[in-house]
Amino acid sequence: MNEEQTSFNIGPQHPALKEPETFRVIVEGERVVKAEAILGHTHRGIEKMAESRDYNKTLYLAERICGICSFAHNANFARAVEFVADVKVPKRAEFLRVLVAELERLHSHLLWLGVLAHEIGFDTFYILVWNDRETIMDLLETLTGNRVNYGMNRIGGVRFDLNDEIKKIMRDKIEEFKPRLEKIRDVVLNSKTIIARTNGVGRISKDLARKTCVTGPTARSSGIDWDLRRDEPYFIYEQLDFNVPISDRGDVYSKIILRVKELFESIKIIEQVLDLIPSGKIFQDVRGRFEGKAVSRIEAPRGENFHYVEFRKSKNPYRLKVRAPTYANVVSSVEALVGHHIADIPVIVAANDPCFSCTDRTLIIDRDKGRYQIMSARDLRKLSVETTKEVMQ
Amino acid sequence: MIQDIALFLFQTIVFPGVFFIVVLAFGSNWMYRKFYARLQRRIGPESAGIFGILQGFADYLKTATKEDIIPYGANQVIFKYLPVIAPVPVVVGMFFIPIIDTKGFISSPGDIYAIVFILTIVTTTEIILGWASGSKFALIGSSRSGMQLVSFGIPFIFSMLYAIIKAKSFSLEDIVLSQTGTKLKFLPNWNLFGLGGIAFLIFIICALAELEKPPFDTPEAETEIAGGWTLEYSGRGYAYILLLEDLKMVFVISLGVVLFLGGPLGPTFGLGEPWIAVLYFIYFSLKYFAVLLILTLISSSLARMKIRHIVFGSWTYLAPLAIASIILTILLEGG
Repeated sequence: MNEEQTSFNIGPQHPALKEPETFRVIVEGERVVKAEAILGHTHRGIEKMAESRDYNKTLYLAERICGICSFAHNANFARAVEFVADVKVPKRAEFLRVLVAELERLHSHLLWLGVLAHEIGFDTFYILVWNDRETIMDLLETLTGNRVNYGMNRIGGVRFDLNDEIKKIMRDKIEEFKPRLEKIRDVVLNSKTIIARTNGVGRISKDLARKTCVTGPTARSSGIDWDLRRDEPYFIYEQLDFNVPISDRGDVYSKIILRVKELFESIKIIEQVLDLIPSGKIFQDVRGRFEGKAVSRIEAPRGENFHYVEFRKSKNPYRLKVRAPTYANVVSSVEALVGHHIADIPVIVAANDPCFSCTDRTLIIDRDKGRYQIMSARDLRKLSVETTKEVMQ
Repeated sequence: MIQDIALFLFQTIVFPGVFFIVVLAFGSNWMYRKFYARLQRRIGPESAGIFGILQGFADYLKTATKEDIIPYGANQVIFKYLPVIAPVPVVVGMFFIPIIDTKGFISSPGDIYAIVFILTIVTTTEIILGWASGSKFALIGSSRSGMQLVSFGIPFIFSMLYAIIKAKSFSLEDIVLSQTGTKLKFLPNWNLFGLGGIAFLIFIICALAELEKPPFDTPEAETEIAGGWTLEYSGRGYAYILLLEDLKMVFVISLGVVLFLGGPLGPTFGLGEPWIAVLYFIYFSLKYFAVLLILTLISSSLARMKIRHIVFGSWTYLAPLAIASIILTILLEGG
C-alpha cells in the first residue's frame, strides 16, 4: 500500500451484506486496486453434527444449511442416501421434487433480483419484486405447509402429495404470475438507471470463470454452457422441454437478464410437470443400516450443489461433505472487484447471489509456516472462551 | 410596546418560528415516508398517532434518548457540538420564506443571497460532520457530499436566477408579487408555467441532490458506505442530524414553492386582513405538499446513481441546460 491507498473492510457487519463475511478492499480514491475475501465467520459445524444423527434427522439438518435453497440441499442429501440404499424412487415423487425445485428457483431468483435492486438503491423495484415473490411462497406453502424449510423429502420419496384442488390453485396462480413477470422483464430491460449501474460492471471473462471454477448462473452468464438439469439429468428433467439461457458478457446486467430468462424457463417446467405428472405412490419405504458412499449433484438456484455421503453399516452418516455453490463463486467476485468503484462493490458481490452461511468452514492456515489445521468443536469452544475472557477484561 | 414584544416572541418561537418549522419538518418526514411506502405497496408509518403522523417525532425522541458514543478517531469538540448547531442555519433560512403574507418574517432586498449562503453552509456542515467522525466510510460520504456540492451548486443557483430575472429583484417579496395575476386568462402567473418550467425541472433535480434523496443519495448510500457522513453519529447527535435532514427538506421545498409556484398566492375572494392570512397558509401548504409529492415520485422510481455519473451528468447536461434557459429568458422575456 502506498500513501494514496487506503484499505477498509466491507463486512462482517455492513448493510450491503446481510450475512457476516469480510471483503477487504484497498482503494485509491474511489477505485478498488485490490480485494480479498475472508470467509469463516458463521461456521456452524453442520457436517460434524450430521455424524451424530441418523439419516432421517440429517435430512432436516441438511435442509437448514441454507434458508433459500433449502430444498436443493434436502433433495440432494436424500438422493445421495437413496444411491447408497439403492432404492428406486417412484415417478410421481420425482415429478413432485422437480415441481418444488423449480418453485424454489423462482423464489430464489426473485429474492436475488430484489436484493440487487436494493444494492443499487432502487428500493421500489426491490419491494415490488418481493411482493410478486409472495405468490410463489404462497404456492410452496399450499403444497408443503411451509414457506422456507419445506420438509418435502423423505428418503425414498416425498412427504406431501398434490391433489386436484392444489393443482388448480397452482395453475391459476402461475397464470396470474406470468404478466407480473413480464412487467419485471420490461422494467429490467428498460430502466435507464438499472442499466447505468450494472452494464459492464463486474465483468467475469470466460477464462476467469474457468480458472475460478464458478457454477450456476454465474458460469452461464460468462459463456460456460453447463447446466446439470440438461447435461447430467437427474429426477425427470430429461423428459421435460426447456432451454438453458447463456450469455457471454459476464457482467452484472447479463446476470440479471439471464436469471429473468431462467424464471420464464422455470414456469415452463412447472406447467409441464402439472400436465405430465403420473399417478401412483409418492414414496418407497426405506429402513435399516447402510454401507457405501455416494455423491449427488443438483443444480440449485445458485449453481451446482454437491453432497458426498458415506455410511459404514450404520444409520448415522460416517461422513457428510457439502459444497454449496457460493463457495465456488465467491473467488470470481473478488477478482471482478478490481478496477471498479466503491459504489460497485455491493453490486458485484451480490451479483453471484452469495449465501455465506452455506459456505463457511473453519480452516486455520499459518501462512508463514505453511501449515494448516481444521479446528474441532473443542478447539473452537476453547477459542471462544479465551476470546470472551479477553473481551471482558 | 409590550404587545410588539409579545408578537415578536410569538412569531419567533411559535408561528412562523421554530415550533411551526419543526412541526412542519416532522410532518414532511411522515408525508414523504407514507407516500414513498404507498408507491411501493407498503403501508408505511402507522402506529405513532393517527396514520402514523407522529412517526418523525417518535423517531427523533427515540434516537435522542439513546446512548451517545464518541469514536476514538473523532474530533471530540466538533463531533459533540456541531450537530447541535447544524439545524440553526436552516431555521433562520425558513424565516425568509413568505407563508402567511407576501413577505417573510425576515425580509430584505437581498434574500436570495442569504438563502444561497445558507444552502451552501448546510452542505459544508455535513462535510465537516463526516470528516470529524474519523471513519473511512464517513470520509468517503463527506467527499461525495462535496462532489455533489460542486456539481449541483451552479445549476441550482442558475435555476433560481430565472425567478430573479423575472422579478428584477433579489427579494423574495418581489419575486412573490411578480407572480400575481393570470396568464392566458386561466393559468396563474406562476414562474412554473412557460420558460420557467425548465428552471423548475432543474430546481427539482438539484433539490433532490441537496436533500440527498434517491437517486442522489450517494453521500449516504446505505448499501455502499453504510450511511456515509451520518455513520458514526448516535444518540442526541444523530437526532439533531435527523432533524437537520427534515428541516432541509422543508426549506428547499418551500423555496421551490416561493420561486416557481407563486408562494402563498391564490384567489382571495375579496376577504379582509385576518382571513387572507389563513387562505395564504392553506394555499402555501397545498403547493408545498404538491412539490413534496413530485420529489417523492421521482426519488421512488430511480436507482441510486454513481458519483462519477452524477458529476459527469451534471456538468454535461444540467449546467449547460441551466445556462441556456437563462440566456433564453433574457432574450425572450426581457432582462
